[in-house]
Amino acid sequence: MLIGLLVIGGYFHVQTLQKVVQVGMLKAIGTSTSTVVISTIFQIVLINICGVALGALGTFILTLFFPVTIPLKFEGYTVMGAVVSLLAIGPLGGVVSVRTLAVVEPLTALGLSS
Amino acid sequence: MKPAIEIRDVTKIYELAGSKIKAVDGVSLTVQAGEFTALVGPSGSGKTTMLAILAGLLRPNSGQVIIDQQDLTLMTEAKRTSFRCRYLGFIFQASNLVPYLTALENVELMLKLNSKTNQANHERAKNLLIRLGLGERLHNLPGQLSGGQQQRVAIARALVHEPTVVLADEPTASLDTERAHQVVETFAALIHEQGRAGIMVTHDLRMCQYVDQIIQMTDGKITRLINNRAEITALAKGK
Ligand SMILES: Nc1ncnc2c1ncn2[C@@H]1O[C@H](COP(=O)(O)OP(=O)(O)OP(=O)(O)O)[C@@H](O)[C@H]1O
Ligand SMILES: [Mg+2]
Repeated sequence: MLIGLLVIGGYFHVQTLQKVVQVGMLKAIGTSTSTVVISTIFQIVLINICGVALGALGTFILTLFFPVTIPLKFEGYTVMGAVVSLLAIGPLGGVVSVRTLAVVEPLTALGLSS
Repeated sequence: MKPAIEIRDVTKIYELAGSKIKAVDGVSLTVQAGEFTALVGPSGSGKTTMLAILAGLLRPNSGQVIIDQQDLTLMTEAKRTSFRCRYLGFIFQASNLVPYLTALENVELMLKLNSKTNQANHERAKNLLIRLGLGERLHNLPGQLSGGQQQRVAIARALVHEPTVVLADEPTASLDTERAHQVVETFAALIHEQGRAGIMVTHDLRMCQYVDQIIQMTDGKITRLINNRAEITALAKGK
């Protein structure tokens, strides 16, 4: 669980750092911080949902090919539990990213910092 | 007529590790609508700082910054952000455009931010790009455009929402001489036609041949103001 949080959070954070210059530019031309925050959250949630859906599908397909001798069981509840907790972890890991982008100064677009 | 931009006695002091740097020192200037001004001066003379103050990105320690008869120094951060969106257009030195939006979408972004997306403005965005020689490139991504073409997209974006003021910081720094001339010449023509107040920071005196007023800064102060055509031409040609 913790590992998942770190991996996902770390992934979003790397993506975020690459966007700092761009967000500085967007704020300079007049994009409000709330717009930046909302669209960041939206993107993180969207990517997360796609990721979890793909992962669940992949796992399901794999199980079809597992020989019955492997003692792995996928029961409704455990699967649902995993999916739900994965869905929750993503946005949690993304919180740091949202904060990073929220505080980017539009001044960076001019190569200045205060 | 009231000037589009009026700066009164603006001072900006940076404090760095205990020492104070007067980056802008008692500067006053005015720019009329339809007038294109160049801000020149040696490195560290305070040009970018001045531009940031004009843009409401940096608050001066004292003085007034009046654009369209509204004082930027009295506004809250949120108010200044929406002011920039509505009244200002920007062209930066580099990384102006959103890499995953096409040329046309980058220009229309400014309309979206202003909730001004309608058919007439869509045509306006398109026509501006055509006027800037990008008619064949409307749907290309910035990565598929040359440096000069990208700067021209940025010019279109800076003008499409009909701002009062257009600010450019070294817009030609990454271009070769020929491209730089083309870009600034069209930029100047659009400023004049559309009646915007334009300010461009530049290192390249040759680019000054397209402007109506040259303001020279040294150590945070205005040391020279040239606004007659003969002198401007002489300076642009290197004395
Ligand atoms: N964030 C900062 N903190 C402290 N001092 C700063 C800061 N930004 C700029 N300065 C100083 O303020 C002065 C003016 O800087 P500014 O960037 O406005 O100059 P410039 O005319 O744009 O220079 P250039 O032509 O090199 O871009 C310089 O002495 C610079 O070192
Ligand atoms: Mg500068």
